Amino acid sequence: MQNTIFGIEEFEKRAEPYKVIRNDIVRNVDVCVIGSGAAGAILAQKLSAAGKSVVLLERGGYYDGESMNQRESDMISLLWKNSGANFTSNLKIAIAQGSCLGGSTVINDAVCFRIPDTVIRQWNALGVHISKEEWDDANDEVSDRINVAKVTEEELNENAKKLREACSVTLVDGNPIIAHHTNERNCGPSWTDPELQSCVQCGFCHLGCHYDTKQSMLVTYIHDAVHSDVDFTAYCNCEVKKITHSNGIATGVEGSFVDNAGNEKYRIQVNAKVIIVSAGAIASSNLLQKSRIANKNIGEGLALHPAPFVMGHFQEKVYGNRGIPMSYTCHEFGVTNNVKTGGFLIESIFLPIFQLALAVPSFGVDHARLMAEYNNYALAGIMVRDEPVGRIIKTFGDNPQVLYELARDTLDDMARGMSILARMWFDIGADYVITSHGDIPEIRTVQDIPKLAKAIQNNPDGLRVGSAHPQGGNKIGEDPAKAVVNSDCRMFGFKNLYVCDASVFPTALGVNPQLTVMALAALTANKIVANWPSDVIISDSLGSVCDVSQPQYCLTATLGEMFAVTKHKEELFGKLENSQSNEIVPDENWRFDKDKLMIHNNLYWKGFYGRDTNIMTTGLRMFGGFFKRFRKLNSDSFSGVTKPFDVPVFAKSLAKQKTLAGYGTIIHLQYEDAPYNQAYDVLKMIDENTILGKAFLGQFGRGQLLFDFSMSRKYHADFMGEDDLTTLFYSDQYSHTPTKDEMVGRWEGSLVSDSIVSPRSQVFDFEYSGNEEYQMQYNFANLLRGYSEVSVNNDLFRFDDYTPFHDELRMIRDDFVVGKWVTDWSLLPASQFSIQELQNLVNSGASQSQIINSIYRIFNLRVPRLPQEIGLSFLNVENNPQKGSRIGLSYILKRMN
Amino acid sequence: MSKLFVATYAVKGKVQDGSKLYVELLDNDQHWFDDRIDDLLGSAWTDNSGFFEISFDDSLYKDNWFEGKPELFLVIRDNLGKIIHKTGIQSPSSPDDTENITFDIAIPDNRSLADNNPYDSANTSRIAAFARIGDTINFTENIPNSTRLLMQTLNAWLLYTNETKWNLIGYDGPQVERYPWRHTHSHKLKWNNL
Repeated sequence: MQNTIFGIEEFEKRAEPYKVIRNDIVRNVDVCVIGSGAAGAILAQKLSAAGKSVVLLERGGYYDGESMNQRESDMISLLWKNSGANFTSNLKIAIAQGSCLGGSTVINDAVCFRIPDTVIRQWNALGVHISKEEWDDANDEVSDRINVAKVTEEELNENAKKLREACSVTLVDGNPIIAHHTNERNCGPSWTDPELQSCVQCGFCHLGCHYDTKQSMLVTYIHDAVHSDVDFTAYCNCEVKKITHSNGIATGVEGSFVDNAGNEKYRIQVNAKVIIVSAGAIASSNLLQKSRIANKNIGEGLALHPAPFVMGHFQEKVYGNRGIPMSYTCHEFGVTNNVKTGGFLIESIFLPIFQLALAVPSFGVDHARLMAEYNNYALAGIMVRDEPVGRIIKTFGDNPQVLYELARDTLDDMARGMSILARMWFDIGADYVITSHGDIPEIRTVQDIPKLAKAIQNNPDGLRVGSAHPQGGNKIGEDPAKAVVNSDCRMFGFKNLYVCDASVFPTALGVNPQLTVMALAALTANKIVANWPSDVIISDSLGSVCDVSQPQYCLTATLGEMFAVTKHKEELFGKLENSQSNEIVPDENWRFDKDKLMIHNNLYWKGFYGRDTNIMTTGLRMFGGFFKRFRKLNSDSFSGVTKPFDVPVFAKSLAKQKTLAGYGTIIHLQYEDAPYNQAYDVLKMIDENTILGKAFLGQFGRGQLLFDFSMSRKYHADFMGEDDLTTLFYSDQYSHTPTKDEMVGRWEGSLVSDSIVSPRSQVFDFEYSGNEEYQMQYNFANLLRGYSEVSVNNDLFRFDDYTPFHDELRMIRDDFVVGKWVTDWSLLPASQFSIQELQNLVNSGASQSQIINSIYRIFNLRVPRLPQEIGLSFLNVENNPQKGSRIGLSYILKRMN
Repeated sequence: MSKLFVATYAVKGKVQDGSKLYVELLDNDQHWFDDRIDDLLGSAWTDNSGFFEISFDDSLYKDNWFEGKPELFLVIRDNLGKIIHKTGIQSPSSPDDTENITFDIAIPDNRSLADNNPYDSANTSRIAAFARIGDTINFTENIPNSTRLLMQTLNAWLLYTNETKWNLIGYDGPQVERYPWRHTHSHKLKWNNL
């Protein structure tokens, strides 16, 4: 059996079986793994080998060895997360992570260290119940598959030999350096070129291995799974939006296939018995945060292994770029030499020219002068075992923001490490050294080395630091109050949701982490099989993917395609008729399913356009919303009316079943009055509540297609209109006034018009501050931020700011709220409110917003009167017996945490 | 001149593809004006062997009195309605008779793979990346540092992704062609021959 890798990029040739995605996808499988790096690939392959059907989702694309062309300008954009532009929020540390099939294992330097014994003991004390024997077995297992072997003497390049020589001659505090040796790496025979039995030593590891000798996940575990006998599918270019869950069961994964610009092309819904998050540190925390998983520890405790560098300049050519970049390490000052807290490794490394140019902290002529000596440098990095002091938070745009400041102890380790390394280069004959501190980029003599340490301590911002090992954010522990997952990597509070990657590390590892991540994945896969949740039933959710039963989620082109191959159900024609009432009557022509947030509205058939994001369709969706309503005339025809929501047009029509060549039996909807009688619709009833339609201009059967659309009498609350929202808002049956406690948390809001529910427009935070004062903070489109005063009384949850408008909320569910931002609409004479009244208001201790509201009224600062239906906007007017006449916006709020 | 005789046509064919497919028969109209479209004359699902048959008469395709023979072509869709193939045009020999027309359709195997390379979209990725980091960094927290980083990145990009500059410095550069899969190439490193 041969499985397939899917993606949205069209390529002429790929090493593995590859197909291009051309439609939305729904998959029901045993296991869904998110992320294809060191953990995800192993989990996917091992669970697949255990007989489970597996879907593997990867944000990046599939690029095989032959497409890795060793050019930084091409490959960093394609293989690195965010095209390499990945930083802490303060821009002080650049974080390198892979974003491609195989993840960071495709772009790393293939260095393999086992988890140090010291770290095993420390983690055991922190509640990680994995014994040394378990670690050893798992390390053996994965090392065997990825061919871990020691770098040979012949494979050491000149750059590594310089570090070895320096370790041999330098004395630190009068003592020789003892612990230093060659690394182990995962290289081996290439499956695409039988002539290559091991590393070619080209030096381009960071840009993917063109020769397929680096035994990354792409050419080992993923390759194995693709060519296995079990149902395995890898979907690339897939950005997971969220994990859905209910009552401690993770039910599914919603994702989008995105192009290189980040635009959604298609969607995917994966329903699975077991869901595993292995998106890597930072991305895994971000996904859990986006998925509204209530664990306050998510995102906490991030470590980065921050790594400054020091280069020695030598008279002779070193050609550091030639050969294996990372093959030698000085362990003397690190956890591998039993340093319990902090510490650092000095690792040989070299960079292709663009990356080195980014690292050298100078500019202009100086930078050019230093770069001209590229072939004469020996380079090594100081990889510090830092404290997990970082945090990951979610931005307004749902992206992860990394908050991290170098701790004092970490700076001390950096200062010590860089000083030692500078000394080492001088000891073996360097005529000057280059540092990664902008204040002191060059050191000409040994006597100047103390200036480097001082510069680091005095101006840490001047350091140019990189990180390739983000760890933490979802740490393992035994206490749910302090950790995110248990030792099985299962999320606290969930039966079938796992997180397995470097994000679960409770502290920094102190060595390059890929082998430890792989070993953890191998252990976790075994545990998942042993504790298989047989009683979990795979959900049948379609999520928000296109399907004939929910065409409002489809692209316009797909609507046309579905129309072509879907048969009209003639027997349903008699059920075309809508309610006789002209208004919503709850429980008669309008119902609401609170559990599924589904609206059943038989007042009319609500029209929907495709979900495309082009200007034309977006415009139609925003401003061209419509409904059609039918009344029965006789046994074979209905009279109809089509009403655009925002335009005073009522186009009469006649609906009859007919046979049309090429279409079979359809409903012909002919408009009757000029000028609309030049148009007609062809409709197919798919089920009692769903219609697919085509609008034509011209003679029936020969007309020009105008557009495809769908209509429904049953739709999700994400497609509600103003009438639906108002019905929910004023209905005690469906909503209630929330208490302050019920609203605590973060909510995302979308504006509601008849035509469309907008994308996220605002975020509201309700919380108690330290002194138990209740606060509400708003953020509109990341542009307008501020605080509002909340008052809950007389069954009204209300908040005010400095405008004459105020907000009112009604809660539908603990995670779903409807709201209105309104102001009085009746034009009261200014004389009804006097300065004296204002004074009384001030004296009575009224709130600031009440006073400002009064000022508005005194000076008659009102917007001009508008008609009831304003059109082409979200602004609406309501006339309510209790509230009076009001104007404003309507919105829905969904809980974010 | 009106016609008393209605010509009928039977279009038969076989699609050489294992799956069940939907076949649409269309008349190719001259697209002189924007408001003209191809006439859909009929449709059918293929049977288990890939055979299909669609019949029609000339009233379906004659948009005008001067329109003569139909110019027939087929659109093949998969079970989701996705168009996977369009045939060439066939015209019946005589428009005034009942006539059988046969299509023998082979769907090209490589229909999903265009002649693209992955690097064309690298610039788009970079631009999108810079747009995205605007949401995750506090550029104004340390403006001198941020500006310096931006300038250094631009400087490095403009100079050190440039092959001329590599040659001046003596940087070995990539060891394979830019589009390696398009050329037979060696996996030997150039510097081993120096």
